[in-house]
Amino acid sequence: MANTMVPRGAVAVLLLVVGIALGAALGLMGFVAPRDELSGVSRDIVRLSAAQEPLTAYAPAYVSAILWDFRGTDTLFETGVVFVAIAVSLALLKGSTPIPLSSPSPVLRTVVRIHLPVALSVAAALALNGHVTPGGGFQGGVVAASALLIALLSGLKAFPPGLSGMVAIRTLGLFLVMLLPLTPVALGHLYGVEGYVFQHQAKPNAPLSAFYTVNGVRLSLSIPMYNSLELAAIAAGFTIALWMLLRGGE
Amino acid sequence: MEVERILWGVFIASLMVAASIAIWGIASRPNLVKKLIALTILGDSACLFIAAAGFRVPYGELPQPPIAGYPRPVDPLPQAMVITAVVIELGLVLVLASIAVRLYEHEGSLSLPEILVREEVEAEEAIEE
Repeated sequence: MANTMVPRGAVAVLLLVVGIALGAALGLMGFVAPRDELSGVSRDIVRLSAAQEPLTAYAPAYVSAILWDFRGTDTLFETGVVFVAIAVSLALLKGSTPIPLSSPSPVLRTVVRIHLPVALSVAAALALNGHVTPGGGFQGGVVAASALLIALLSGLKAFPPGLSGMVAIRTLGLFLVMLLPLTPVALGHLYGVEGYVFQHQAKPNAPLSAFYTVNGVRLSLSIPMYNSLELAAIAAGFTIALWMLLRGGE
Repeated sequence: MEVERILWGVFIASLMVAASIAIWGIASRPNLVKKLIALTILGDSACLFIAAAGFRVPYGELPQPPIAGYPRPVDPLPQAMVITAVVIELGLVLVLASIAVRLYEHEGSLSLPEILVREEVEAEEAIEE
């Protein structure tokens, strides 16, 4: 039999090296306890995010501001990576043998009927409030995907979009996430002014801006839009992918 | 304060132990699903460690969320990096699980040594023919 297992001695040496490397990294970073002060970049992010318009998108949640304002392009391509991963999974799983599942119990079906609307509301709240509280589109999407998958496994009969509809929602969500950052550039050409990719607020030489507030409700410019589109894309994408993992090409 | 410092050290040490066990699992377990689970544990331990690196709680106080209005919020930058890492890890695990499902259907086993031995035997038989 080919010896493809790593010898125990090599594993022990590997673990020792990893342990020493981690300890050295911690020591070099001076990280032995929580620090009192933020790092330089984080201090600037907190200062700028807490500033009033028109300096920033003024998303009170700093993490959402980092994801969609300070380094929005990174998040955009990360969404693209997830889309590609889901597409690859669907291509691999098409035609695979379904895993046999026992028929769901009435207790599960009843609990899911109560739990599903609550879970979807929580997911929507996480995504839509992601710019003012901890949360965001991805977090909401994962909660929604988990709830929908449990509902499908419980034998949910009425599933309005259907799996083909979920594919369409996923694709549309991703398409709009890719299109939205280009909107300021297109509008800039239309109105004869400057416009930048991922431009949320007006700049000295680029007057286009989304809304900070509408009727007193804080919108943090276009961040809730990104969160909503991410919610749709992630929820639909992971629901289909996980369903295909269980049920194959069914 | 001494107890909290010790507990913090236990927390960090447990993350390192989890990461080390995960690396051992990836290296030593023959079953592909177990390797995948170990990979997930490794990724999650690393993400938790990075998020913990952003903690700035003085001992005895509750951590403040990274939202405007709190005077001493935790560092938001590691959390943003962790969100990206978790998303990519989820996509990776999905692809690896799909590959494992197809491999099982094709080979009838998830044990890597068995699969490789079978491939070697088939290659030798093909050469003999």
